[in-house]
Amino acid sequence: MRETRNSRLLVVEDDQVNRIILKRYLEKEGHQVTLAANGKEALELLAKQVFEMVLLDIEMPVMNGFQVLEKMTTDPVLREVPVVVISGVEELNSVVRCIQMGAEDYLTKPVNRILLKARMDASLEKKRLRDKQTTLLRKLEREMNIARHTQMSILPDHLPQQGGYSFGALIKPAMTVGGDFYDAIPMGQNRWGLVLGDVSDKGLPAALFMTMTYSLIRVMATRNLDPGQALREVNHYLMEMNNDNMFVTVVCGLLDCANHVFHYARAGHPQPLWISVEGEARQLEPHPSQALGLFPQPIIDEGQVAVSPGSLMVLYSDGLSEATNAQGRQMGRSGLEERLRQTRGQTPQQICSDYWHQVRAFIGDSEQQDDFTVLAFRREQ
Amino acid sequence: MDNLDAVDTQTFQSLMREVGRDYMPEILEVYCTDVKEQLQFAQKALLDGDSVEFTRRVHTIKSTSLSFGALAYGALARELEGLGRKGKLDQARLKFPPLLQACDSLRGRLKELCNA
Repeated sequence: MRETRNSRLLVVEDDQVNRIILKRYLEKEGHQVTLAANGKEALELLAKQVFEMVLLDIEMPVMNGFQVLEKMTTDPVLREVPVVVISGVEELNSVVRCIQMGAEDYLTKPVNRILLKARMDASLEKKRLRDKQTTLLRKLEREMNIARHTQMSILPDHLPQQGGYSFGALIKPAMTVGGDFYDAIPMGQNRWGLVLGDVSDKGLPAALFMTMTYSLIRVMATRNLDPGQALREVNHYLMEMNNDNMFVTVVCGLLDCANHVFHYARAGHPQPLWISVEGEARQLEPHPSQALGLFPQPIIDEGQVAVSPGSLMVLYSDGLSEATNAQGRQMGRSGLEERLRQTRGQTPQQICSDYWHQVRAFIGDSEQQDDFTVLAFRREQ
Repeated sequence: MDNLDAVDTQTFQSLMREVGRDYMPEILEVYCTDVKEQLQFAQKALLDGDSVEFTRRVHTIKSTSLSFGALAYGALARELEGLGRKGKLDQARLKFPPLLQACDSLRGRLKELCNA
């Protein structure tokens, strides 16, 4: 164990002799020692000065050790300060109570200097590690927030403004950064490339893989490839750069708003929801497909559908369909179609928000397990 | 109780080694003064029938005496503390005088060891 020296310590002990002995012991170990004769004095000092540890007697006049511990554990700053209780050998019940109240350790009187040093070193080392952990967590949190901001900033800051069509999108990562993404890429007059992807796993590795996939798709969009060919090219590069067996499911399509055709390609991703103006659920031709990043020649499901007036299509990630409640039940695709029938009069953006509210209500107090992303468009009548 | 002024020399020497020989007379002086004061308060508490105050005073005597190796003296203080906690001040009144009487001889014995 690392030697801990030069720590700021507070000794709270009503007995003058014990106070002096403890001070002497601790100063010989290189610590800076402040003395308090009772709990009240101790709390006054704790309010004014920073201490790395408190040695606390239990039985004291004015304010005893229990009262000090009670105050300390309810204070957000003071509860981080380790407390070693000093007690008589016959006060074991009191010691137990103090440990239950949050004290780190205890020593019996008369205090043995070797035991004192061992307990102090252990407690101070634990505190040092806790402080280090807190600092690292804060740093990580800051960096993750920057990463989240960066990741969000690469997503489209506005959706297509296209006569005769309206669009909506919403993304809610399960963690600070996520593996879902969507894009709406201008592909020439009246043509839009719509993309929604979901990287395996979540968190930072997924976010990095997502950024790579997103960039590759953007590059392929400049080559005027059809959606299926674009995904195969993306897969080719992902296979070259993927050493961690990560993969990404993608659905993308070229929406021709002049001819009202949606030419799509799907790589292991759920089929979009599709509903007619009358509220009739429609299905793309069900064909198998495989995620990108796993196979040199993945099966890509490709097709083309006519977009009828008033029809609505929703591309989504499994953070929607597989949202799971406390009972382990998933929302499921059929529920999503039913909901879309009910909300089809709303704008695509409202529909995206509605799905998010549905997920929140469905999972209740459960943690969001997966990233949630929805991209919707409607051909106006 | 016999030998209330007996001191466990090993405990005493250990304390002297840990705090430093040069520092020991000062601590000893504080102890002797403090014990005298605590005894006076304890005696008054007995007269007043204040078991809480009595318990607190003999508790202090107990813990400091044990630090110096005054094991028998500390043990008697511990016994008195137990009686105080139970509110048995009548019994405590009977057992308290030896603690008072042995104070000066204990002080002498401790100083002797300190100067040895």
